[in-house]
Amino acid sequence: MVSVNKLVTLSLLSLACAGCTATTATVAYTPPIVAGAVDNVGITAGVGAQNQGANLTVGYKGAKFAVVPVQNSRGERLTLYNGDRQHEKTFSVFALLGVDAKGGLAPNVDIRQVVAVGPAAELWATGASGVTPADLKAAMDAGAVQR
Amino acid sequence: MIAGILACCALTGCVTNEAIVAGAIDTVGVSASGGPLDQGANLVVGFKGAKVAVVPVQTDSGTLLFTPDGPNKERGFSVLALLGIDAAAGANTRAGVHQVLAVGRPADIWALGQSGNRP
Repeated sequence: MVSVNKLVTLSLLSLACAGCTATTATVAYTPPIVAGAVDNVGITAGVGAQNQGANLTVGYKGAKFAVVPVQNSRGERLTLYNGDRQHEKTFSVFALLGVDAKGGLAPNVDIRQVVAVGPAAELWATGASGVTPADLKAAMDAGAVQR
Repeated sequence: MIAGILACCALTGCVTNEAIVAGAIDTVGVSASGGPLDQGANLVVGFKGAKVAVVPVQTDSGTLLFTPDGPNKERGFSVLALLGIDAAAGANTRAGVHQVLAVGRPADIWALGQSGNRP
């Protein structure tokens, strides 16, 4: 389990570094958004170098990732107009695995692994966090959350 | 497998900065494998799935790729990949697995629906 996590972590670090070091002659690139989630739930066992020798999972094992560019080669933002030039939105990505199991020794098992970027992330966070519209308004009025 | 996909990410999305690259790889249930890169033996009782999407967002010259969506409104390209399994067996025994990968407007819609925050 540890080896898999190390492998994915190193891969994600490589991705981030690749974005950070990509430059042009005149415009410094802003690295893309890189998001990932790697989770093991239940029993996992790995033997051998990077778990290539043997691997056993009883439960759930999943990985999700997203790479979303934010700037073009001329240094311009990659956004979409959303009504007028004062309102733009970014690209959305949403990756989900949902497991609902009921019965046997585990009467109620619920697993959700989500990776989201952009407006989808905000929609998911708003709904899944349990905040009420009143909470959100109070937070925005206090300046804690952007309008 | 994950390393291979992430390597592809580095080559397509990260270095060129021209595309959204997203993926989901999941195993649910009992999975056992042996041998280098799982080619020796592989057993899954349950669910094992992978979904990957590569969505271009700009041309070689850096022009944004979009489709008009009304006055001053633009929309990017969409992708939705879904596997849904609903199984019911015996009394009070149910299992459901949903693997979703969405890019663009489907991502917003799916996030809204699954979050439980329906207007």
